[in-house]
Amino acid sequence: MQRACGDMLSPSSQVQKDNSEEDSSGSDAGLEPETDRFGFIVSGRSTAGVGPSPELVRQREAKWINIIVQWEQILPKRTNKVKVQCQKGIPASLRAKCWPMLCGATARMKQNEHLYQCLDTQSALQSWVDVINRDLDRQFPFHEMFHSKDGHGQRGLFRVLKSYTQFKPEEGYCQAQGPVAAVLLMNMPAEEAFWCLVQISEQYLPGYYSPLLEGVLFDAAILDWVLKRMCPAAHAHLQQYGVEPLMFATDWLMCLFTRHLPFNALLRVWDLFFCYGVRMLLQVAVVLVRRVLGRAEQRKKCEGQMETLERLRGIREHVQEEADAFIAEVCSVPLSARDLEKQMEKEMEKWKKDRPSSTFDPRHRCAGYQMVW
Amino acid sequence: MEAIWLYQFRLIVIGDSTVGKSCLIRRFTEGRFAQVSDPTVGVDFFSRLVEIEPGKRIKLQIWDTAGQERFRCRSITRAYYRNSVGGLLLFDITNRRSFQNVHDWLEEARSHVQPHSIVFLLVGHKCDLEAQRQVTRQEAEKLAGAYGMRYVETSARDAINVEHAFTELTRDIFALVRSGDITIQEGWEGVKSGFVPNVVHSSEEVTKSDRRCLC
Repeated sequence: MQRACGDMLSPSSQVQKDNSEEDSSGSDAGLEPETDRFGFIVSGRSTAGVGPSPELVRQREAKWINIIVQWEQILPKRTNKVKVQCQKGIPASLRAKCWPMLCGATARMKQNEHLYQCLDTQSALQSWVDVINRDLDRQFPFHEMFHSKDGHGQRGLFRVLKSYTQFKPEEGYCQAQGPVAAVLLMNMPAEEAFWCLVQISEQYLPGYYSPLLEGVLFDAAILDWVLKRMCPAAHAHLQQYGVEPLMFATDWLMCLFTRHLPFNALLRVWDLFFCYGVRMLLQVAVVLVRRVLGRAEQRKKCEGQMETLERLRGIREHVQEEADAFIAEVCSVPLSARDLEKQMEKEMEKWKKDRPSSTFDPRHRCAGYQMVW
Repeated sequence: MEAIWLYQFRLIVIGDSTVGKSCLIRRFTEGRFAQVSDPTVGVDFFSRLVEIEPGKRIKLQIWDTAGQERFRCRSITRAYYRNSVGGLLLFDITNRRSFQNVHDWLEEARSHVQPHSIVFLLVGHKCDLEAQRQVTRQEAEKLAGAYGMRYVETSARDAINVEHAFTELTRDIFALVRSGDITIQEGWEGVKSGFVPNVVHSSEEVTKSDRRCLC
């Protein structure tokens, strides 16, 4: 049984099949620029590295296939097995299967069979179509999937984002969803990507992409508290120079770090995010702030608001492509789910007082795979 | 070592999404044109020195803002209006809609900048795309005149008027600072005075108080 499933899900067969279906009508044929292992077009030597050894990848694939096959039994048990494997990193060949499974997109897709196809074939509000169209060639132009105008990447991106505006007409399209959907599409077919985007926007990060961006405002306040507790000296520096989390972390949070981390580190962060929810985004933010402002001599070099913001903007240089050490550091940030929950309660009281008419309440948002059904 | 500057001005760049705000700023601060630019999420920051007269340098802090409507909520981009002394209000000359929205942008800026005011420059961007022009120079000039602003047409792609736009705005603000119409205030980031070496101490700025070394 396991072997049969294993074969079915064996490395990349699933992903390749789906991509090639979409490819057949694309205009990418014939153009084959040199790319790194993630599909980014490289000139000269790639910095992407080679990744884990084939033996290790095979071992992890076997473990994940086991998890996939027994998912229904694993889910209610709340074992640590899934968490441990997410920390080690999901093999590239299985992200197409694992991300939707972890975030509940697979289940949602099953419950709503044909809905995506239905949205996809219907026409959307022209004003959204125009806005989305203008952003299509602005996401990952140096990725092989997205570099040509009518390639399957940009077309897939249009379909996913457009469908979302029909699925959630009250939210429409937020520009920060573009890079998120693009990274999903690099890893899975359009329908799965659509449901993952729905789960992220609705369950994991409610209010992040809605017209009032309430989720972002709320989490910026939470991040301020987290920074104060986890790296007090850096936090004091930020306060001294009037640097607020909204100034540097709006993009980090809303785009789920897509523009700020080397790609391998990004994928590993997303493995954790689907497993733990927003807590991981906050922990990543802590590590990034620590890497830029953690040491006294670093803080001394940027005494001023603009100087500090410029340091934070250049964060990418502080994260290596080899992601194991970074991921270990992220996981070691001592932010417990319980403490975070407590703080959210406190923040919620303040929120209600400041905004009596707001109905926003993120307290029951999804904090990872165990809460998604 | 940080170059010496007389004043620091904070500028804000606003306008509809995809009018080319980030590309214009990058051309000015980095001297290059990016064929593609990620949509700005929240705000982004740039800085550059400009020399407005021989030996007189101004440090510009330029705040780039997201164009999409939903980012204009009070805590994300609106907070930046208050601390700006100058602004570039961009529209795309090939996109009529972005020109029609100029009024809304201005209204919004004015309602959030109190008690200060912002010296605006109206910028018709992407002027290299003459064949696709949807807004004539005359009507843009007329609108700018009605608001008491200058009008400049720029192209980040062909580097047309980019230096000119930023330098003119800087000069205008400098003149207002000199005349005392704009004053440095505690707790306001719009204008800050910088470190002045003795050689340029001949000018009247030296009499201004609240001089601090910020470099």
